[in-house]
Amino acid sequence: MLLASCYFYMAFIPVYILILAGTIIIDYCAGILIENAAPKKRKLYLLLSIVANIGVLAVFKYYNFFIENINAVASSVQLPLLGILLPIGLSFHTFQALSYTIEVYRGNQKAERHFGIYALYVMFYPQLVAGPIERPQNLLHQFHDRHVFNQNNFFIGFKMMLWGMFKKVVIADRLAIFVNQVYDSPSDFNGSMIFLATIFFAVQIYCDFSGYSSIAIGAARTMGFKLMTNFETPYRAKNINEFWKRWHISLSTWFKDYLYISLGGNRVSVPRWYLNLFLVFLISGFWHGANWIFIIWGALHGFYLVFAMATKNIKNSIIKKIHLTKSSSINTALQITTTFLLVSFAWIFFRAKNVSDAFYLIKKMFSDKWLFPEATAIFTYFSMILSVGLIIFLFYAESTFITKIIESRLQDKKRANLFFGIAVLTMILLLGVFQKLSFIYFQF
Amino acid sequence: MQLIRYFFTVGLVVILITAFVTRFTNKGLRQSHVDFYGKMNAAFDSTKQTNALLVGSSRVLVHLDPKIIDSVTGLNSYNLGLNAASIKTCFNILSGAIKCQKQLKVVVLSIDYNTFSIEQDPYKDAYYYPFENEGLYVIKTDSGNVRLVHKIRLFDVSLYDDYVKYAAIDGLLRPKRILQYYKGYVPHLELNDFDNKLNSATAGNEITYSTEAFKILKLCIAICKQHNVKLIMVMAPYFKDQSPGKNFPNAAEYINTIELTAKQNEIPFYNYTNMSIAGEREYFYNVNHLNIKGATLYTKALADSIKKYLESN
Repeated sequence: MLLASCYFYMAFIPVYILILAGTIIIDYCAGILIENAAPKKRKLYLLLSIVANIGVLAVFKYYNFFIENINAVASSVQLPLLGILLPIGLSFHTFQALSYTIEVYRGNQKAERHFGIYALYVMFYPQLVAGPIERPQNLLHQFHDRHVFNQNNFFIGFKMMLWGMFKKVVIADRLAIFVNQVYDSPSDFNGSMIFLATIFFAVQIYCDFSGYSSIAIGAARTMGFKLMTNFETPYRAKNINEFWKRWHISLSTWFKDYLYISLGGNRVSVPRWYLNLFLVFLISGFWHGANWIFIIWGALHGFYLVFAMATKNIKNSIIKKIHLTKSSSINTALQITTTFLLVSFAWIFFRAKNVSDAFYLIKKMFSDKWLFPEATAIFTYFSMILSVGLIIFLFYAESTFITKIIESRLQDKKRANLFFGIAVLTMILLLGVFQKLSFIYFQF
Repeated sequence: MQLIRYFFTVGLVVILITAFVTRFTNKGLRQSHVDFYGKMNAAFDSTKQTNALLVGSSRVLVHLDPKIIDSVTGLNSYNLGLNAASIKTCFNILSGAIKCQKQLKVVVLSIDYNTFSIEQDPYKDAYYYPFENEGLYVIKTDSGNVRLVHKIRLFDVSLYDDYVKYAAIDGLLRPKRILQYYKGYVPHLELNDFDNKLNSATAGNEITYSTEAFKILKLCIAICKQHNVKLIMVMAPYFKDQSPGKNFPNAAEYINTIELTAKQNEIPFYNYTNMSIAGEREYFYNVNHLNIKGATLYTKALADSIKKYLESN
């Protein structure tokens, strides 16, 4: 399996495996040294591991960003840029490696003595490119276990992969046709079209990334490995805090466990707590990409969260005044809609080509006349109706029966499995958009 | 064993459903009246014979009124103009139609400044040509093969865009829908749209035409000769800002090349780029297209030329 992972990694740029091998050796040694060292030295070894991992990330992902900004600010200084490509899945496996050394340091995980198993932990190919970012407590021991073919695991994994494929090729890539058209030349479209493209992008990125996660988790499951859940119907979240508990769970819990708590979490003064929250989201944005749009995106989520915390009492008193019970369906619908719209608004920064484009899109969306969305040559009314129908089906299926079918928890599971296989495979074959579009999160 | 049985059942049912849907998609497309498909289905229906085909881009679609041509020449013509069609698509249409239309006498091929920019032709592989009912038709060019498909194959439905699916559904649900316009002619009824289009005139651009594209023109000539059909080449008026020399520095050279090709192959070439109406804004919808008033005048002039040519040959 390690060989397969190496082959998978080397399919991109073979020589980059040397960099990965370097950090794997450092972290492997650091883990053992941390475990065996005296308390004072443990921190030093942890620091060494962090510096090595973040150093690689800094060079490959952030160096050019900083240099470009320095060059832009100080026009007299023109520092050279690096002409290198980002290694595949760098941000993901770096964080996974860091979680290992941190957990060993915290005493929650024993240092791995088997080098091959540790290397596989970092490079496990189903989740190497875009996560889920695993924790050593969940994954490492699974590599020690003996895996024999298990029909149930295989079947669950297969269904997960099929569902992930459906989300990617039938929904995400179909919506991408329209979203790309609008976001690539926003001046050609009116406010309502930009709004529609933004809503569609919110669904596209969910289907794209959660689709990938389902395929990754499913692929691992067919071999008997259980990876952590990465998405739990995030657009059903009633507030931003809940959204982040449901969206890219492996990353948000990583930041919570290793950054937020290290900063003091909520066991500090209120202003410091708010600052901690804001910082975590700001850094999370920066993790996504070395670009101001991602930083603004992260900052916006940080702001949403801090604002929600700071105005919690006011919101509660308003709800009380208008006699809305917290659990009423109107209140729930309002909360879900508001959260979805706020998240979708933030996605504008995530999707726009640059900051000025993002502001142009926002300005146009709010200042333009809202006309009924027009069909375009490549995205007709038929495509729109089909897309909306598929989106409704997706959300209905995910909030009612999909998990039960995938995990074979329905009473008549034989029929359910048969129906699921036939329906999803047929939809992929008849409604899939096969334009070889890459997964959005592969760029990170 | 249980797993094998599952995959076998799912596979079998999926194949059956897909085959069923593919079959109905093909049937729907052949019955479709949705623009491109409707036009082609009408033109390639061998029960509806015509003896003159008007082939080209939107400058045929919105310019040539078959009613006028028929009344002047006594022919029974059909407008096969397609938006943005290059010589490649013109040839594809022609090669399919010529096999269905056994009484065909004349083909009018309209040439534009974009006719030979085959790389900009939107009618690529993912378009369905329901009229191509004699199997795969392959045009061999220098850069490779231009593939056309005569019907959607099993498992290929998803390779075609949503518009194909819509056309197929429409064809299945409304097979007897009457076409909105007469014999494929879709004139610009609004008088002009100059404010939107004038600024987008491609000033200073060179007309691109490759040897490869001219080879396809020679294929058009050859196929007409082979079926004993008279080929006439025309060039419709452009508004004065777009006429030769104004916008395209190599327009004169381009027209000369076409004239030379026509002469070498003994084909008439009627160039209306400098027709008297070319300077009159009231006859144009935009710089590239005549409105219905201009189209009527242009069609009359062309019909007269066709009549004279047919009488003398």
